[in-house]
Amino acid sequence: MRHRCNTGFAAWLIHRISGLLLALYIFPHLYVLSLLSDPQEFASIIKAMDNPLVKAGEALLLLLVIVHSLNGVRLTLLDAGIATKHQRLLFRIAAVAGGLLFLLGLSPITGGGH
Amino acid sequence: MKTFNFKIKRLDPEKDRAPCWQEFTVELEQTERLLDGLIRIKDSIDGSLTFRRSCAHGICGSCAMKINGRNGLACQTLAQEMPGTITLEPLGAYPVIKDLVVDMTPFFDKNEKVMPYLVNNAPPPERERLQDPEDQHKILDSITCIMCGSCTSSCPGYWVNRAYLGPSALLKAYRFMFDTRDDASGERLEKIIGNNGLWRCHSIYNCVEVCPKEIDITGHLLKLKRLAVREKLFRKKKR
Repeated sequence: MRHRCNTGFAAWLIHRISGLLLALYIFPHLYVLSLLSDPQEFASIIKAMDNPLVKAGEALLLLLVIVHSLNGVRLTLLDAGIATKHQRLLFRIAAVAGGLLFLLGLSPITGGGH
Repeated sequence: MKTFNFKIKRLDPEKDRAPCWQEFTVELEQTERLLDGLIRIKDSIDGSLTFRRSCAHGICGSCAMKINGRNGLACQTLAQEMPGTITLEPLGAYPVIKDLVVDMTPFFDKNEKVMPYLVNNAPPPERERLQDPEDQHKILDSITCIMCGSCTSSCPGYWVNRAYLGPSALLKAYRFMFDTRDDASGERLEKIIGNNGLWRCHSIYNCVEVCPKEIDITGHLLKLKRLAVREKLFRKKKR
């Protein structure tokens, strides 16, 4: 196994990339929120949310939030000295829990409800 | 006897511009290790093959190298445990001197920075400075480090920032900071919490994966982080 394939390295890389993407997402998110003062423009944006591409974006956002937050919990536990010898197990638990949460979260997105 | 194929990354700075791969075939017994294979190659096939070795029993750390893409000790790895061709490279992240020999100066320089020696201001006793077994147990794992350099050269934090102290030096800092006989904990803490110190560790665990002595290095560094937070943020007494 090469060093780059280690669980800890993968977790770190995923955490960095998801964190970066979420930080970049904040800007369009704040822009959309700033339109709250204009009801018509806001309504048109909400309508655009039905676009499949936007739906895919929402699913990606959900995935990023789940991945980043669960790995964040893993890192916090490790920092607190809990299960430092079981970081791989923690990653696997986070992956399974994250997968389940993602599937649960997908249904309101694909169901068309806002 | 079984035949093994060794693929070795070679570089002779006096002749070569870039490293190249060379393959050797040797016969080894079931109980022989990769270091035995290297010695056989040097003795009977190519005397110019260069590598470090000393104790050959996993204590001196001289024969640390990248074995099938993963740092480890050649003297501690059985040839028969390797699937297919055995690929050997020098440790990454250190300058190569020749073939499998790297310049460990940057590694030992980092070690020097954390004051890797006991500081005790009390007058020297007639014999050794005694320590309770319980206190010794707190630093037992960190004492078993053989300073082979496998951990630091596998650390992505070190790959991107060669000024970073690295897991080995930080583990050495732990070894003395948690030694109940030591009086320089505060001074050492100042040395390890700088820009290129403790907080460059992102708990990636590569160091733990490769440590030939199976030390939970990241676990030790996390204890140092908690100590740093306690001392610098809350100013509570350590330990």
